[in-house]
Amino acid sequence: MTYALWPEYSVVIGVFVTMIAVMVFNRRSIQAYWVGLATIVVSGIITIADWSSKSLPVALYGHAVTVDAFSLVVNGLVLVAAAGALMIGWNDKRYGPDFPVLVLLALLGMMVLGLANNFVVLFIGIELLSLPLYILAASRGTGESGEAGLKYLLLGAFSSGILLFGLALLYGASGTLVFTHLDPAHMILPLAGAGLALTVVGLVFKLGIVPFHMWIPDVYEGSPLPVTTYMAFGTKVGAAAILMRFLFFGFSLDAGWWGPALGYLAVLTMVVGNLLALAQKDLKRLLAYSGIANAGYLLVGISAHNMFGARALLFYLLPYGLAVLAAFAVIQFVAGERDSLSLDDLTGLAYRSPWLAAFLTVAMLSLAGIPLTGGFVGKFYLIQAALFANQPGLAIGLVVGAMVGLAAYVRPLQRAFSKAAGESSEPIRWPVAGSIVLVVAVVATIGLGVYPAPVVHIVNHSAAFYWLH
Amino acid sequence: MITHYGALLLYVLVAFAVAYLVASSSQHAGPKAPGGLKRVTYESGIVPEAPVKYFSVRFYRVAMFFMIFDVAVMSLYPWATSLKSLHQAGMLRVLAFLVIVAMAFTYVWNRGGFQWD
Amino acid sequence: MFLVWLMAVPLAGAIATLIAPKEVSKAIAAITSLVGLVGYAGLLFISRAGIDWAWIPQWGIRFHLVSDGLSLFLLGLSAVLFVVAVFASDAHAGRAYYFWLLVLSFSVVGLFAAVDLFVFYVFWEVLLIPVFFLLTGWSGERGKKAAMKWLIMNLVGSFFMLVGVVALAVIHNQNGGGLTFEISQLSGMSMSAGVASWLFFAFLVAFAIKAPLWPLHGWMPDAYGESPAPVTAIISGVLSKAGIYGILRVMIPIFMPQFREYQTLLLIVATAGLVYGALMALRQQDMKMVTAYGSLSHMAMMALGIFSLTSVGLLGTTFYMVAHGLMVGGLFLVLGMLENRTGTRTIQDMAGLNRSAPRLAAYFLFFVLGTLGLPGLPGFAGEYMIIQGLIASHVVFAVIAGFILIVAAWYMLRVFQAVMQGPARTTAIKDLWSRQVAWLVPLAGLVILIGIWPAGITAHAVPSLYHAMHFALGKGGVH
Repeated sequence: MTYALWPEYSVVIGVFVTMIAVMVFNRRSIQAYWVGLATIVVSGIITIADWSSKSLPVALYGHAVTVDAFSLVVNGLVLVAAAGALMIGWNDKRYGPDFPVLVLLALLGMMVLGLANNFVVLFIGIELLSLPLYILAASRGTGESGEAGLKYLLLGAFSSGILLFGLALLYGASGTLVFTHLDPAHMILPLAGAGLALTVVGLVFKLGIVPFHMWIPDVYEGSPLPVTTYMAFGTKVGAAAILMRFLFFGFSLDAGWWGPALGYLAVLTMVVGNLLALAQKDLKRLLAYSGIANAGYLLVGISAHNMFGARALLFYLLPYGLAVLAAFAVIQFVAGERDSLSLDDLTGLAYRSPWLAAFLTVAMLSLAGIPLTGGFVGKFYLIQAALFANQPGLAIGLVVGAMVGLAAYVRPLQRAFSKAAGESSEPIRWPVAGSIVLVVAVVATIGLGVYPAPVVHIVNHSAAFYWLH
Repeated sequence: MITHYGALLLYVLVAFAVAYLVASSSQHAGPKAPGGLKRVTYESGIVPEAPVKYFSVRFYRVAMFFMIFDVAVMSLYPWATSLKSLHQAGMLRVLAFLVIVAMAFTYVWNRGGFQWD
Repeated sequence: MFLVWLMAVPLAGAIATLIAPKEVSKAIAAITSLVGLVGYAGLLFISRAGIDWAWIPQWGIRFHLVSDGLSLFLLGLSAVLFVVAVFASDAHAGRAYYFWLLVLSFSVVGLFAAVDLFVFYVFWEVLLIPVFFLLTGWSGERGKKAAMKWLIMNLVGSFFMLVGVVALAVIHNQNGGGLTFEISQLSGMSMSAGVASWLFFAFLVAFAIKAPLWPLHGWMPDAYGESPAPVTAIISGVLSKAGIYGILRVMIPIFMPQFREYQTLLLIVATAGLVYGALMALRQQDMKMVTAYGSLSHMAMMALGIFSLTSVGLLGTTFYMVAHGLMVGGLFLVLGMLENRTGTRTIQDMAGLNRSAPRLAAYFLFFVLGTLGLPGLPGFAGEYMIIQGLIASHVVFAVIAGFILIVAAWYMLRVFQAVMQGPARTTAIKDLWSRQVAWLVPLAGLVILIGIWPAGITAHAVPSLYHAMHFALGKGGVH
């Protein structure tokens, strides 16, 4: 008896219990949130228990899913993302009672993406991830939120279509649905090439790679804050994980097909994302463009196409996600009843609430990649990967992107640390659950920067793709 | 050779005939109430020439729920055809599937998804 | 282990300032920096204190700190200047000011002691952040712009250096030596000439921006002009030395062939900086900017000492870094006091102040004379050694450097003459308070001490300079 899939099963059960909690208790009650959080904790415990299990890696359902150390690390990451989003939006009446249910459902999709080894499971994961997020994006009803939801739905459906078409072509060209059974030597070539290209486009659409990034700023800006957090962290983890597994397991021998293309896209994304971040006045939009740029960093790990790249990508997701959690938690606190925050609203934050300013500083410096934060170690690992792959262009693109982005991340800090025009605003409320997320994220960000060795050990163990060099 | 396809031809003819009969019978035998909403292009609850705000979302909601649960129930057919070879395990799995569908149905009901007003 | 305590003290102090009430921030900072100074004095008695811990073993990164002859006196310089800067700071500057000052002190200790390239890089970047916030929060109107310039220019340099750092380790790994960031192991590594040249300039640009060396000094006028005097003293006295120190510590052992290849070019650029700084200093009407551009010129002098690629030139730079740090730090602090009292920095607005403030004038003159290289004060010994090295390698540049020394005397004395001497046109100002004298006396004493006894530093520095550069020396590149 293996417990390999029980992290996922426990989430399925958790979804039901959360639904029952919504139905049984008063609809605007807190119980559903507690059930959701308990589900995440239980699933996390099972994931940790699986980590030391001897029976892994294991392929189930005719190689449809593979549970290995890689999928468990992805599980861990998306669980952190879900817990963070749930707690930032803890019992917030604005988002409706379905919020925890939908968060859990999207979580399930992300977890499925971590272990998919089959086109069908891949597509189910993508849809399971996307559909709840469409609803969540629109969960503040009319206005910007509705617009975000609609845009996300239309463009998401569009990309799903492209993805599905690509998968169909690949199946037609190869005759198998399983990644690990794909043998590029025995494929109908033009068909397989088109299929691969369309599939990759569909996936990088979800990841938000330039030039498929147009939807991200509007959707991030319009969505409620906890949902934006979730999208910025969880979706990126899921999309990056499946893109890597698809390419590294299915097309590893033919990296020449996709490696250079993704490399150019990565450099373009890093530079363009950071450049556009520079011009933003709204903090959520700024972080949206930062998310685009960070997707470019993730792509560096994929296009490096070596073991270092896989590990660096997996490592980088954690400090990136933690910084996103911290930054969005700060925005949520400062914004209060509002749903967005301009850079000018930050002015004088250091005098209104020195701790929030300090936490924002840590988050922004981590995104900028300053040492003693996790973001630096992640970028360092990515540069290592690029240079080990003998691709200095990727490394230089990364640092050029980081340079451009630096000014974008530092501008909010300068606002926060300069004196306000004089009007004394109301004191900032610290919701308990959000504060826990914030403090944990900030402490973990610094911890990752000061002593990353344990996490490096974990990712090195989990991305031990022996067929790469 | 041709006789083999003769059966097919017959089938096609019968199919068309039945289809025509069914379609035309409603025209001949059914009661007629011209005017009103009968005259609009699509009998979908939408007034085609009215301003956009008169779109009735309720219709789509119900239609969508119907589609979702219909498709879900449709998944039972392949199971039913191979019930014998799937034995008890198949029975349990389909029960789990039905529980999921029922659960979703209850949730939608409870959250007011089926209320017209 | 001792070095770790030396780093832990300012960090603990920084955390203490956050917790303790606002009123005692300065006291905490003062106590912390004094403890650091005492600890440093203890360090003088331990030869080659160091630690070597595994930090990220998967990547061969070790937390390796050493205090050898190269770093020992720079650690001392920073310990002294931080004490002085804290005492010279405004007591009402707030807890964040002292927090950032102590964080800066922490990262400077780490930077000067690191011999692992990764550790070096970490502290190299970390120290940008406190300065950024000090410039943002406690400087003039254009301080925000200055802070932005400081951060972005420095990070542009150091990001390319980051690629260089990783590339060195990766090349070392590909050569079969395993993944390591240890400078001593990376030195003398074989790499293709093209790659080596790229890496050489990646490092050089990063270090030259921090120093700053002409033509990469774009951040300097704003940052020096806008920052409060103690911060200026730290930037010019300690942080600018980090750039020169980086060239000595990192580049000399690793890139000796490239230094030899590009020596003429480097000498020409450094000399251009020397002349540019001096001429700009002559043109300034703002006494702080005169000192800033003078400092730019002196940084070029230090670079010339290194680029001479002679052991005496390198030794001269090592010595001159400490000497110049102490003197220019003191000079900026005195200028800060002068500005506080008169409310202006323009030379024409002041005259004859030595009547009302004789003690201030005396200290001003002392540091001015030290900066322009009066024999008996340490600037002279440093410049002497550098010019000696230049004569041995390229005598043309020695002649130009000697000429610039005269210009240095001109622009420094011009300021002193205009501000302190002549008829007392401006209103009288208060002389130094006894508390200010209390920390200026030891600083001046220290300057005199190393001025009349340079061997106290050079005798220590020579062995480790030879140790750090054994590769370069072994190849006979240094006369």
